Amino acid sequence: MILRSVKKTYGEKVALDIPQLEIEPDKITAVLGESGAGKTTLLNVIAGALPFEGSVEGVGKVSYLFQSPTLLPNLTVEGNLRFVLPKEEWEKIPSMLEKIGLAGRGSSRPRELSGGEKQRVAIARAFLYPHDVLLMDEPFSSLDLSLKKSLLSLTAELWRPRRETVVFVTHDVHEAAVLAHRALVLKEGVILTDLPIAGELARDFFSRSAEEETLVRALTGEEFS
Amino acid sequence: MKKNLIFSALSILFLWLVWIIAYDAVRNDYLLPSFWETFRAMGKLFADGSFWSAFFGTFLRTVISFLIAFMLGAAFAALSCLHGGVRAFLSPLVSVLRTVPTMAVILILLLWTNAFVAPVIVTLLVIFPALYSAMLASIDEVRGEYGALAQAFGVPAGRRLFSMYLPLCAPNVLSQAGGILSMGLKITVSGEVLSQTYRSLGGMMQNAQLFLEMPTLLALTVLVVVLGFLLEGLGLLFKKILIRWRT
Repeated sequence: MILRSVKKTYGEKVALDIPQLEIEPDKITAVLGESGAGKTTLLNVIAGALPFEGSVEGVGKVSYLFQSPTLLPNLTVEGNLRFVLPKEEWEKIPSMLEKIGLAGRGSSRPRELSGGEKQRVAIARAFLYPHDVLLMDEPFSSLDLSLKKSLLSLTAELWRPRRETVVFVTHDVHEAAVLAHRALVLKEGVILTDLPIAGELARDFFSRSAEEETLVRALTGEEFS
Repeated sequence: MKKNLIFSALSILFLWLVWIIAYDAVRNDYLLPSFWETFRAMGKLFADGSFWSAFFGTFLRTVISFLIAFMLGAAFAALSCLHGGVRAFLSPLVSVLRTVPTMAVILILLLWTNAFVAPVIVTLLVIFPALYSAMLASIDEVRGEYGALAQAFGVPAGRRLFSMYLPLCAPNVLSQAGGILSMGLKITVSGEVLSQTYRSLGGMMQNAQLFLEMPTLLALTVLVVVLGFLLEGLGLLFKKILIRWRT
């Protein structure tokens, strides 16, 4: 996927200004930045949900994983998956429910699920929907640490067999370090840093302190890998 | 829940006591008949065949107005959501309908139509804005919460309508529909009083007032109130039967 001379402005304010950016297939690209840095604008530009200057090539079909699970309360778990999927994909639902640890819960309503289970269904929905690119907009930001860790693992597990292009917006350095292969740091709509990451390298760059790491380990009871 | 029922029963008891005390203070059957006199008049009404034909006539007019207003409200609310222009076009019209005096409309309608049709049209004109606004607010709420999801995944229009909009709008709309239907009954009866509609509760009230049959007038009023409660309950019952996913 290539973005060329992409510019998005709101009045005088430049929300996004990217001369050229290639997002590699088969990789998870994290987009980091503070609020208002242009992270969500970048996702919307890729999705074609906003008018903008420039061009985005090679996007194909897009799937989404939002910050909140956004499940229809009147439909069952299976109904929620069927709601977005083409009919020919419905047969894949039972095996996906098994993968996300919700086998036998297909007929449960969202109100019968915990917050983590709801987000699992949203992850299943995003991966089941036929797509070339998956856009994730801070899907783990409101979760507690242990839940965050288990859902990051689930996302990685579901991603591995197909290795599709993923653009993952987050403000959490550690989430990016755990899941992504590359991190883009946005500031005021401009890419400040473009860094291949693999664990420690990202932690060095974003200067996460040893005390913070200890706290993370203490809270989750496990080590991040 | 049980506590609330007790308080509701106490409120009815309070009204009954006020009636008894007021009757004792006034002591004039032409101004305020006693509870028991009214109760007897109610019994006579139940035994009278013309009361039942008036009752069903009024009920039918109310239901016809409601159903037409419901269909128009749903159609225009859907159009308003699909096109901002329709919403802007309807906005002042709905405001005018809300503020126009009901009695003036009935008087005008009596010149254009007849005593049977005028109450139906006036009820329709009064309850349409309420139903339209309730439906529009519900659709906006559902769209605000789930519209982006349906849009992002390119959910087909039919699936959006039957799996998202209809079931998710229904609880809010049905919650208000009973109250609006009950309000419709009140407007229909007012229209019938002014139009002196033959075989109608409003017409019977007008006659009772003309012949100073105060117990009958009061009995009819109480019956309209009870019918209003029943219609409101009907809305809630429909909601309970149709919206099983909430329980």
